[in-house]
Amino acid sequence: MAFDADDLAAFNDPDMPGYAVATIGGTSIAGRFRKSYGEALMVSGIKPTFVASVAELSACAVGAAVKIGGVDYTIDEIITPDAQMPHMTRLLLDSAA
Amino acid sequence: MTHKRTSIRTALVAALTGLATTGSRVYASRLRPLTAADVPAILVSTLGEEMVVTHLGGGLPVQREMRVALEVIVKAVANYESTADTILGEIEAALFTSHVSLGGNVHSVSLASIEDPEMDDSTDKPVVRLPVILRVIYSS
Repeated sequence: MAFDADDLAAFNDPDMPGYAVATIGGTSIAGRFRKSYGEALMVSGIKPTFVASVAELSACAVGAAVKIGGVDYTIDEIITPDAQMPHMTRLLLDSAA
Repeated sequence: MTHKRTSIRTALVAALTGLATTGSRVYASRLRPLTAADVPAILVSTLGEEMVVTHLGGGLPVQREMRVALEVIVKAVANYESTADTILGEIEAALFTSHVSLGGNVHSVSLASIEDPEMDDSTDKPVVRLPVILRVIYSS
């Protein structure tokens, strides 16, 4: 069954765990926000990620500013759609401060 | 009886505690990951050593050359390499501007090498690790 607008609406339902609204370039974009635990060279931390539709994140660029929940981030990496998630783009974020 | 390796490691932590950038964040034998509050930091690890036999008689002191790793760890949004270099300068000033005996436990402490720094951006801020290898000469 193809992924359609109804599926996307369910994915971005405000009642879904991780639902968040990101402000990117002055535009509000609904998606899913997650802070995964990570470690780098003996230092623990989190790696924030934001997932939304391909269409809404198509203009994003690495280094762009993102604000989620009043916290500032920058885009570290843009994961384009793959077979597992064909209609969504994942942004890997860095803390801005 | 405390082995000299322990005494040397403890004395190095004391000698490096209080530097301008790392303050009290000097850790020996650390296995648990550092948190954001624990960095910038210096990790102290005593590595392998070689014995120099200067005599043939048994029971006489043996001279030992031990390597010690000081790992400078910095996590920051920017200037992380420069900060690591600054910490290196503070270490050099603490250990190499005059003769250091680490509480009488060693004959000398010198800088053996600075290894390739590693950088990783897989968490929310870049992390850099700069390994500084010391050569410590002591007798047992």
